[in-house]
Order: sequence, then C-alpha cells, then structure tokens
Amino acid sequence: MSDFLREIILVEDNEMHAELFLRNFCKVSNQKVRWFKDSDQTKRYFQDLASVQGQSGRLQSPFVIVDIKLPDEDGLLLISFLTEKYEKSSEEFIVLTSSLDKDEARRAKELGVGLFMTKPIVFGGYPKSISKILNFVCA
Amino acid sequence: MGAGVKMRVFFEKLFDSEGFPPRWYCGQWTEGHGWLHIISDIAIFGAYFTIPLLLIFFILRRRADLPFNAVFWCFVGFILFCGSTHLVEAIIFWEPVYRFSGVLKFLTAIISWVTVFLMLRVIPEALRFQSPHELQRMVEERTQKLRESELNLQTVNQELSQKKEEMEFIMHAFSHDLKSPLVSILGFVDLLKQDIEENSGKAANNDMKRIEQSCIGLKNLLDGFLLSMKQDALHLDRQWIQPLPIIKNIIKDLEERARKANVEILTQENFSEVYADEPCYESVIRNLLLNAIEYGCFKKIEKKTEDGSPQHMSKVWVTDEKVDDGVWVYVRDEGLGIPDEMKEKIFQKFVRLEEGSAGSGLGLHIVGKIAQKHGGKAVLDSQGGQGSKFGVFFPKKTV
Repeated sequence: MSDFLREIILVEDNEMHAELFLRNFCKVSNQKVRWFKDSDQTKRYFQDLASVQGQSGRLQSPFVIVDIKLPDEDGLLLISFLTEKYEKSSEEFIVLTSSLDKDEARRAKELGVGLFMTKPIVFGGYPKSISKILNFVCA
Repeated sequence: MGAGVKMRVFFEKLFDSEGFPPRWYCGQWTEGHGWLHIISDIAIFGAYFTIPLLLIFFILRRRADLPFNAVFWCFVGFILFCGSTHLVEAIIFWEPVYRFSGVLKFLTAIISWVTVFLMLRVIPEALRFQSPHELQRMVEERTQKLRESELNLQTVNQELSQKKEEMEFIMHAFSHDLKSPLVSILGFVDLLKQDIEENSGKAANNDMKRIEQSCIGLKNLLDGFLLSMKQDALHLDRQWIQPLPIIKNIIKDLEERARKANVEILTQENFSEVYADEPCYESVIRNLLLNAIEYGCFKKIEKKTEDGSPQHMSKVWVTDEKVDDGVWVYVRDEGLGIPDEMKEKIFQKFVRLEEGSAGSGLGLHIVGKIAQKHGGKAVLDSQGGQGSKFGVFFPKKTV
C-alpha cells in the first residue's frame, strides 16, 4: 500500500469507469480519491479549496486525473482554467481518455500535462495504469 | 489554216496591235469622255491591286487560322485579274493590244467561275459560323454556365468537406463509444476474477451486473448504428395511418422499462391521421419515448421517500396537433430539460446527455433523419428545469 500526502481528484463522468478506477486504486493505496462527475463540480471544489487556503495558509495542491470528454466542458479546457486561475502547474494533471485522438494528445502535450494515458482495453490493464499513475504521483 | 496554227499565230501576235486602231481613234471620243474612261480604269486597277495586298497582309498572314484558304486565294486572283483588265482597257486607248486583252479577260472569266464554284461550296458552311453578336451571346451564356458550374462545384466541395468532417466526427465518436464499454467490460472482468478468487460473491455479482450493462450499451450502440445506416438508404412507403394503435402498442412494449424508471406514459384520446411510412412513424415515437424514459426523468427520482421508493412517478405525454399543412406529434417529459449548449446538436449522431448511459446516442438522430425524409422536421423546446418537448412534423400528402 502506498500513501502520500497530496490529495487526488478524479474528474470522470462515466460511472463505471470511475468505479473501476476507484476499486483498483483502493486495492493498492489507502489514499482517498475525491471523485467529481463534471467540470462544474471540480471548479466549485477548487474555489472552496482556495478560500480555505486563504484562511489557513498554504495547503498542498491536489493531483487531478481528468477525463477529456466531460458533459459540461472539454477536460483540457478545465485544465487550462485551473492552471490559469489557481496558478496550478499543468504537470499536476493526468489525462485519462477513452479515445486515441492525436489532436487531443497534441493539445494535452501543449498544455504540458504530467501524464497522458488512454483507458486500458486489455485484460489486467487497469492495475497497470493505476501503478503508472501512482509512480508518477509519488515521484 | 488549221486551228493549231491559228492558235500559234494568235499567241505570237499577242502584243501586236497591227490591224487595230488605238481606241482614241475608234469612234468620236471627246477628250473628257476618253480620260473619264482612262482615269476610272486606272483607279479601278489601283484599288483592285490594293485589295488583294490588304487581304494577303492582314488576313492570310495575320490570321492563318481562318478557314477557306483556297477561296481567299481565288478571290485574290480574281480581283487582280479584274484590275488588270481595267488597266489594259486604259492602255488600249494608245496601244490596242486586243489579243492580250482577250486572253486576260478569258483568264479573268476562268478564275471568276472557279471562285464562284468554290464560294457555292463554301457559303453554306460559312453561314453556319456565328455572327459576332451571336458569338458574344454564346460566350456570355457559357460564362454564365461556367459560373454556375463553379458555384455548384463550390457547393459540392462544401458538402464534401462537411461530409468529411461529419465522418471524422462519427469515426471519432464511434471509436470512443465502442472503446468506452470495452474499457468497462475488460476492467470488470479483471475485478470479477479477483472477487471470485477472494470469494466475494456480492462484489462478483456487482461486477457481472456492470459487465451486463456495458454489453447492453455496446449492443444498443451497434443496433442504433446499423439502424442509422439503414435510414440513409430508406425507401418510404407513405400512406395515411392511424397513430393511436401504433402509439398504444409502443407504450405497452415499453411498459416494464417505464415502470422501472418510474415513468408514466400518457396519451390523448384521439390522434389525427398522419401521412407517413408506418415503420418510420413507429420508430419516431419509440425513440422519443425511449429518450424520455432514459433522460426525461433522471433527476426527478433522485429524491426518495423513507422506505426507498421514489417520491412520485415522472410523467411523459404523447400528443399531436393538426395544422394546415400536416400534423405535429409531440413527446413531452418533466425532466430537467436539455442544456442550451446541447440543444443545437441534440439531433446529431452520438450525442448523449450522459456519458456512459445505455443509449446509443443515435435515437434522436434517427428521429431527425426520418422527419427530414418525410419532408418534415424535428424540433426541441426545452426550458431549464421545466422538462423537454420534442416535436416531429409530418407534412400532409401533396398532389
């Protein structure tokens, strides 16, 4: 089991994919993952977080795992928004997407996201993806 | 003396004026009368000599592409000979070379008739050539046609470009939508294996339920896609149909599904006859009702009573409205409505209100396509928090 201090946020609208992520994640880590279904919920959380940080001093900035296809906004736009508004490093974002779109990969690269991953479509794929994410987060 | 000898003598004396008086001495010429002939003949000769030169210089040299070359050359010869006869006529006033004059006139006659025959052959052909005015009109007509063709080409290019974009969107969406349930299926199969190893029956059951849901989603996607492909090549068999029995049958079919989703489907007592293809009409109603069951109520049942049952049934209405040029059929729900940014693309392929829903994202696209094929349209009226009302217009039979 790996533990680390920084909070992890999952932005994923597909409930089954979120469940897969969370169940695989909790098998290897006790770390709590906060799950949001859309961009709006995520933004509101960051807003709350910023106000708390304002009162209590500097808090650790969370790692954010974002799906690109969100119901209310493109996931990459959400990353742009958060990096600009909260001066958050784009390297603290991990993009997890179902599609193998070159344009999306290029845009993610331009944004400078820490990790760009496609959702696994092989047996045993999720545990491998999770360990890759954990390695990145703990590095 | 034989004819041959006479001929030889004639040509030997071609320029011999012996035996003929000069024209001045033949008849009673006044000086003015004589010079009138002489000056006129010389002037005609000058003009007749200049015309062929002009023809040669301007037409034959500068417009070598012009047809009827032989006629031009004959015409040049004909005018030169004519001019020469006039010159000789003037000379004869002093030097009566009547033999030479006769030969010259004979040659002029030959070339004149050759020209006549050539012209007889050429004139009908030449008449087929367009006048400059007609040519101008033809050029304008063709320019106009070219412009129209260019516009058509631009339209076709635009359509092709749109089709390409649409295809790219479909391929992208289809690949995403195919992968999404596969990610779930493979992921939950992994978890299922682990849960079976750990003897966790409850978790295994949940895994299997998720796998089943994903398989249903995948099946719906493929069914919807195949149906959508069929719509493209659909042949309509339009006739006057009674909607009520069709609608009641569909409601009966969807009863169980609606009950599970806590949806009650209501209809009016009478429906106006619709001029439509019956299977298409059925497909429209079925897809609109499925959409209403799937999305039209999803937030309404979030609030539950203490015993866990939903607080109330969400209602869906099927109604119609007869207008002058056809019939509108409406399906209205009391869900949360469609967000403004989704309204414009709601009838496009692979558009869903919820990612990961069991719908194929093609139902409303099929509805829109059927309406279009019938010469009608599909519209959406949705206000935030006040449900959605989908309307499909079927035009009446036109003569």
